[in-house]
Amino acid sequence: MFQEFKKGLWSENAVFRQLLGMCPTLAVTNSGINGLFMGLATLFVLVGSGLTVSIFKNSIPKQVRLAAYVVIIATFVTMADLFLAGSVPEISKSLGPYVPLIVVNCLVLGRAEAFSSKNRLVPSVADAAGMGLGFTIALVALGIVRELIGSGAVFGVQLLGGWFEPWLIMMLPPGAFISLGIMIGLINHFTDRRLAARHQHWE
Amino acid sequence: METYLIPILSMGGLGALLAAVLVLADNKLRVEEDARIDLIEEALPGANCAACGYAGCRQFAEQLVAGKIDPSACRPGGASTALAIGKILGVEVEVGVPMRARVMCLGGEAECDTRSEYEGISDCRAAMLLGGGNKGCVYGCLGFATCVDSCPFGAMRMDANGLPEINDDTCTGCGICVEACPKSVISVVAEGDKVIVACSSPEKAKVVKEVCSRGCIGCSLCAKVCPVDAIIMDGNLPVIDQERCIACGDCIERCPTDSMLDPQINHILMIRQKKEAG
Amino acid sequence: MQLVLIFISAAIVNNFVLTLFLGICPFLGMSRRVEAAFSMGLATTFVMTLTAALTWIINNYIIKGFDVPYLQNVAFIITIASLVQFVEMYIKKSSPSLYRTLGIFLPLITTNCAVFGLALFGDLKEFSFIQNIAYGFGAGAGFTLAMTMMAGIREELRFSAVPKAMEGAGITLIVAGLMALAFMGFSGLLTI
Repeated sequence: MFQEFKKGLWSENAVFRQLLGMCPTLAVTNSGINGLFMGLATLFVLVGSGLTVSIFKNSIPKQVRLAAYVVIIATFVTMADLFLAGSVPEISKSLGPYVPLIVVNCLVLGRAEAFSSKNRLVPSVADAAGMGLGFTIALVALGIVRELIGSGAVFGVQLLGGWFEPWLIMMLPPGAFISLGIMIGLINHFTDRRLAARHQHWE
Repeated sequence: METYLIPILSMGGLGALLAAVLVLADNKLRVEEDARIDLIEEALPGANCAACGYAGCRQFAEQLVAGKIDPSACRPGGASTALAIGKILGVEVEVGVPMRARVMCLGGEAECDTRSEYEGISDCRAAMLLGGGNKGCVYGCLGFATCVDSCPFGAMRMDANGLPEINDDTCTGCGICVEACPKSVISVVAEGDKVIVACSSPEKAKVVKEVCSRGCIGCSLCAKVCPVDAIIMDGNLPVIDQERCIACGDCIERCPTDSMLDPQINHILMIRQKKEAG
Repeated sequence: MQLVLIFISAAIVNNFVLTLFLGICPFLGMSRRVEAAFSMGLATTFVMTLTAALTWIINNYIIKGFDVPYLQNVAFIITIASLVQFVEMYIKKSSPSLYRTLGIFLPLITTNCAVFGLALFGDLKEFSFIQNIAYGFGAGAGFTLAMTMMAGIREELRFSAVPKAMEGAGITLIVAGLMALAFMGFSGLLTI
């Protein structure tokens, strides 16, 4: 069962390995704190929907499967959105319309479809939690990188002094794409997985 | 109470309305399809490789039901698929022999010289545009792996010598690599074939030997040594009558340039065996 | 005239993919071949235009009418899912050849963040009915543009010497970043 949880953290990390949930990853990681809250919101939605789908998986007719999943997910997303708006209004405002977009986050629907709908409650929750946590880690990592290079600060704390000329581009769309691309490239390089796959061993 | 009633009624109402529209649409817009198309599509390999000439397995299934093609036209599916289709359609199916791709060239980097430096797109078709490629032998495999890329089943890879290797377990004999190769150096051979000459060069001995150490030099020793006269020379290349051949292996042994092969032995296996033999 | 400006704003100045980060998943996943990318883009544009119309009606008459903003997400998503289902059925019946080219992309469009994002962003901008439709059409056109350009570049990239670790997602994202950089040149052109 710990396996189910662990795989979402690294080996099947949503952002770096599966390339799911790209939209919020790129959109809100202009600062570490934004990335953190978006990740936590997604974690909440993942666990909530995974739980619900797993409980009701046998009662949902096949034809309306997808529609039912998205309604469940939309409900949890609305809860998360309202909670954020109420408790951390500043951050909620900077996250903007990307919190409601968790509804169509391919990661959330993907886990519901691929895992929660076919497994019992506890493994589903473990899987959802692992994926959510892995997603949060990825977002925070990217957020820290972009914020550090883009403004010299991390989580609002100015780290790099006046000598550093911030790369404004990192806070803008091009910087998001490029930094994520480089991060994925570095991760692939150091984990050697892609390289192993290219050699196509048949033994 | 009202705060609960409004969302329940409005969303419930909206959902019911949308569901009703969809049900109505399903009734009005239903497309009548022969149920056999779905059954056949499930029986097909589902690779959508287009080896049959149609854009995907579903199209193939539709044509089958319309009676326009023969069930054995799906080569990747092989015998088992053809029989399954025959069962669904209720027709007799003649099952063909499994086919595998073989590269008719043994001139890799170790055996064959290059005649020029090529710097360009790493694709055989691109290399062909520049005077037929940079290989010493104009008829040989260029080694840029266009065939490997074209294989929809991932059954090919390039070996260390610059020649393609074929995995017999995954190769379905679909023939897409044959089409992809600009040198037409790949052929599909049947499971019953006993000997092939793995060289595509029709040139004379002098020309071949200048560039390649394993090319067929047209010495016709194979034809002479064959006990059942299954080999005749067509110009400088031998032609083997697979029906007559008794698989004695004399021609393979006698060939001075090692250009003849038993195609049933997996090419990779054969090279390893040679290495072990010393 | 206003409608044309809204169209251009949605398609180019605030391109949904390169500026607003919507529809990234299909953008990275489907943009390998130009024909497929263009077909997906067309299908998405069609759905987006219809979505803009339908969600405007739902938004203004149900959500605002009953003052239930917290139901917006649920209402929008069931509308979009139903719409896509309906479109798929309709195309399958009316034009089998069109269904063969575009139809397979339709189920993927349901979870395309660009469609849902369109509904949300359109609501934020408080357009009129016709303006919202122009916005949807423009957004779809911009999405198609970005996808097709990326597919064209990726086809060329196939023959380039990309470092092994960067193959696939890595280089695609960097190319997307460069495209986004180019599109930044349009910013400020229109403030719609």
